[in-house]
Amino acid sequence: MNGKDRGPGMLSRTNGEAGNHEVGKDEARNNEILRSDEILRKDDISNAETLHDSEEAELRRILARYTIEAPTTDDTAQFAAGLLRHWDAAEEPSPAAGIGKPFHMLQMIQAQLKLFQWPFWLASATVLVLGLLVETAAGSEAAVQPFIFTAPLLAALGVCFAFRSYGTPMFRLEMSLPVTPMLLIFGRLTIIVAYNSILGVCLSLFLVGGTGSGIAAYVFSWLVPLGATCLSALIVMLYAGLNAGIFMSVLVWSVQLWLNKHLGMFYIFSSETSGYWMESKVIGVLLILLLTGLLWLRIRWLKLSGRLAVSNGN
Amino acid sequence: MGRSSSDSSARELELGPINMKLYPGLTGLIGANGAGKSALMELLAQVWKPGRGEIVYEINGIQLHGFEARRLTGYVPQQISIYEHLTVLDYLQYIAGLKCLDDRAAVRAVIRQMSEWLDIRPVLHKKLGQLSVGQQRLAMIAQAFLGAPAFLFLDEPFASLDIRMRRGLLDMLAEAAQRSVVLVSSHITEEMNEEYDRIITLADGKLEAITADYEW
Repeated sequence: MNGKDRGPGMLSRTNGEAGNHEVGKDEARNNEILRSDEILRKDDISNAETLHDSEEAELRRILARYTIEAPTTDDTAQFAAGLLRHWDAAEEPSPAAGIGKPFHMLQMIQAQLKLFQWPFWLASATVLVLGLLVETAAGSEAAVQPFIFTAPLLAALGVCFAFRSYGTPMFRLEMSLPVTPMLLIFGRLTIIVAYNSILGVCLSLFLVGGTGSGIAAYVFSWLVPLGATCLSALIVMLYAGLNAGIFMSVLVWSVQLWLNKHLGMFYIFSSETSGYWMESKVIGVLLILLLTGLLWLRIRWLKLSGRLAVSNGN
Repeated sequence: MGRSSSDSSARELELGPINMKLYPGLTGLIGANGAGKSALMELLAQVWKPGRGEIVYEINGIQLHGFEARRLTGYVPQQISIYEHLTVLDYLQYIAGLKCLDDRAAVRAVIRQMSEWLDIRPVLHKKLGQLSVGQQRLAMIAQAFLGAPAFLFLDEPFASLDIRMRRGLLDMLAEAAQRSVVLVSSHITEEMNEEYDRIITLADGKLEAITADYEW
């Protein structure tokens, strides 16, 4: 059976009075049949037996593509099975609606792991280890603890690296794929945050030891700034472009580094020795919640307006 | 119809009114620069949502929901769309993964399918950033064919390809058009030959003409 007689089709329709065109096989076929009839009618008038060679050749050329073999029983069965498959697929709810489905989420994350290659993982681990070594040398009483500053900056820059395609033609191509913006963004964010967190916890265990509250407080000390810096970078990037995201993450980090204890309870990169440690961490958590809400709203707005690919500053 | 952008300056273009049906076959989309070809392609590939109106995707008369339509769509943007540090193989596997396909099997299938016309194997393990623009475009074309799409939208796919590759690509598209809707845009009208089933002409974002092959 000729595949052109069945299969996919697409209808594009927009509002408007003029320009109402329709194109398709049926129309093309009708036109060609009319043209064939015209040739035949001309021959009827004169003599059907004396079809000119050129006319016959033209007729054969036009009709050739519509000459198909009669379908076999197998063809019909395959066609019916194909129809049933598509019917079932159309009846199912969209897989994209199941954003919470762990398998689909994992599949998307796995696919996006391809974007990060071993130099990225290695460089991240090396910088974190260096932060650990400097912190060991500096001692725990210093106002600025290097490891608490290293992990968040690294993660924020990792987020910017993960979204380097944002606003580029590559991102437009990604937007045409069957992955929602929400999955795309949270998938990459999860990879960066999870990797840095796991690495950070391992190194914290080495630095602080495995004693219950000590390790928990230490991890909390760098995890809160990590979350706040990553989300700040991402949100600014979604509003103003990649470079603005990088600038924002470095700015937040620099302000915390240079003003440190002078920020009081807003010193969210504080260590346990800081006077406002608990207050600063609570403020940090509230900031993370606020930024998560803003991120969700931003992605939702971008998705609804269908403008995810151009909302950049590049 | 919609507001869109067809270049990096993100200019806005009003498209429409456009009312048309596409069936399996090779359809050419022509028009002067700025006529709206890329914007229409982006709308059809669901990069954007139309501001007004709708685009319906059907297989055998059964309407597909958006996710399914995206899974069965292959799209080649006009501009080079790659991650430079990825190898061609990684790039194809990345796109296959986002298309919810078994990445290795899908990539193997597309390499096998393409090999008859365009051999991509010699560059599979090379980084995209090290390839020529023509080879990068070849990789973009390969990703569009992942998962045997029923709808193929190729925006200026012949740009930067040499004559042999252009011929190979045209043959490959003609073969794919036996079972898929294939829409190919080009601003070079001379390249639209008898392989095409129909030609759509856009002017100022509006549908100007639709011509079947025997009429032009």
